[in-house]
This record gives sequence, structure tokens and C-alpha cells, in this order.
Amino acid sequence: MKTKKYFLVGSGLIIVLVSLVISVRHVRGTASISEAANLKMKGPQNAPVQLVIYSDFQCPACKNAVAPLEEIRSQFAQDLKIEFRHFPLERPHRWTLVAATFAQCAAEQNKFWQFHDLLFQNQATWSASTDPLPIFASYVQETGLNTKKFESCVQNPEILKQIRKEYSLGSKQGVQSTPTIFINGQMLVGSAQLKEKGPAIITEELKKQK
Amino acid sequence: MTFLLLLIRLVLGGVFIYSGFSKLITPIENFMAVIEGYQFLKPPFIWPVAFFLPWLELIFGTFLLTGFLTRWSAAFLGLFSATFITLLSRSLILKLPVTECGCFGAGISLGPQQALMLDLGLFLMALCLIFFPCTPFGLDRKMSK
Repeated sequence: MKTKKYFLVGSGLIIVLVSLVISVRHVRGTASISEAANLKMKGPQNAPVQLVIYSDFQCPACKNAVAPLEEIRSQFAQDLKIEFRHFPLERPHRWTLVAATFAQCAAEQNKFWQFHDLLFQNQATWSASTDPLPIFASYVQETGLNTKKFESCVQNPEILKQIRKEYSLGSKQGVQSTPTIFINGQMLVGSAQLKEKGPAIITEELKKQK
Repeated sequence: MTFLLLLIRLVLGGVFIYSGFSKLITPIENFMAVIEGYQFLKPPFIWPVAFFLPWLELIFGTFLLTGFLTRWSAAFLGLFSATFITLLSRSLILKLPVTECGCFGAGISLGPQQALMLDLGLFLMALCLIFFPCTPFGLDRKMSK
């Protein structure tokens, strides 16, 4: 009798918890992956597979994801569109927002990917710097950006708004850490998951569309 | 003493409820990546652990909070805490690139050292409840009447 009572109470509690978690998940939902059109894309516009990467320029794990992402891109060059979205983690990364602002302004002049590569290649240098602005300014020169336009861009509050918007969209999609990747909506977190599962997911997505 | 034990029960249960719940309401891939970071499980075992662990934290945390199967729930949560202590210590000794413990999803960010201290505290709390499970306002007490 006592065992039965315990079983019933225990089961009741578990049912309440499961219902609660399911309801919260349902209410929270997830934002659509294609909500934020931006200037940080590469690959064919009408590619059947869309890969969105939420990244932080000062995060070492994001730097580690650059090479596998490039490998995947060359493997599926005709079928894959890559989109970069900012997800600056400001608490652990002091200069990430500044780096994101500079990269976003480079995007405004269609030079995002060159700037992106420079930031990741030299991540250790500017991350350790007490003032990375001169370093970023040298990347502006190196990528051949229009300095006047660039100066007014970095002061434009709309740039910060765009970065915050992408961050907020990522949060709504369940992004907690960087890099987080969505391949046609399927989520992968970290470069290990990208390397291990990315190509298989893309192949599967391509098969579905044939 | 009785009220101290009640407080311990509520705190321990509450921490595990929060920990389990915060992981369950976000995509499982986040917690899978956290587990990968500790480099102790082979890939086929990562998904089952990432799936079941938050549920167990939530269920036993709720059991403890409501004072249901108090001794057993405290024993399970104590076991979880001991496991986390081992993994965090291992990550610190091996200098693994774990910068954030991943204990509470995106809710609360703790470094490995801070998480280690927290888990030690939780482990001691669980031990108290294993030895003194009779706390007031619990289902166990009501059901034994």
C-alpha cells in the first residue's frame, strides 16, 4: 500500500515536470533562421543549403572553426550559402564588441570576409593588446577600405543596433555559446560538432532536395 | 537544527531544479558541446548523457524540494555533485580548455574553480540530508502518517 502511494506520488510529480518543460519549450519556440538578412554572406544566393554561423571574433573556439568551415565550403561550393552573424560574448571577451563593430563596418563596404580573416588570423595579438584600435585601423588600411566612410560608420549607432539584433536573434534560436552553427535549421555547437556532423547534414539536405 | 536541514533541502533541491530546467529549455546541442569540452566521453555516449542528466537533475531536485524520498534523492544528487567535482578537478589538472562550467545553461556563468566550490558545498549538503532526512514540511512526513 505504502509502495503504491509512493509510486503514484512520484509518477504524478514526473508527469507535472514533463508537462511543464514541454509547455515552456513550446511557449519559447524558436525564431526563424532567415530572419536577419545581412551583408555577411558568401556562396550562391539561391544555394539549397544555408549555413548560419553565430560567432565571436575574440573567442578561440570560433577561430578553430574557421578552417573546418572553409573546408566544408570548398567541398560544397555550389550548394552552400554561408552567413555570418555576430554573437559577441562581452563578459569574457573585452574587445569583442569593438571587433564586431569594425567587421560590421567592413561589411558595409563589402569587405567583411577579408576583415573577418584578418581578425581571426591575428586574434591572439589584438586580444592581448591594451588598446587594439591601432591594430584594427591597420586592418582597415590593409583591406583597402574607404577610411572616411569607415570612420563615420564606426560612430553610427545603427551598427551597434545591428550587432545587438543579431545577438538577440541568436539567443531566441537557443544560442548560448560560440560558435553555434545552423545548417538549414539544424543546430551544431562548436567546431567538433561542425567537423563531425556538418558534411553529413549537408549531404542529407541535398539528397532531400533532389 | 530542523530548520537548518529544511533550508539545506530547499537550497539543494532548488539548485538542481534550476540547473536541470535551464538545460532542458534550450537545444540539447548546447549541453552536448559542454560535455564534449570535458573530453571524458566518446561521441556515441554524449547524446544520451546530455538528454538524461538534466531530466534527472530536475526530477531529483523536485523530489528533494518537496521532501519526497528525501534520503534517496539526496543520495542521487550527492552522487551527481561528486561526479561533477571529479570532472571539474580533472579538467583543472589536465588544463582542459573549459572556461565555463556549463552547469546552468546560459543562466549563470561560473568558471571551473567557482563551480568546484559550489559542487563541494552541494555535496556536503547532500551528505547532511542522507544522514538526517527527516525534515519538516515534506511529503515523506505526510505520507508516513
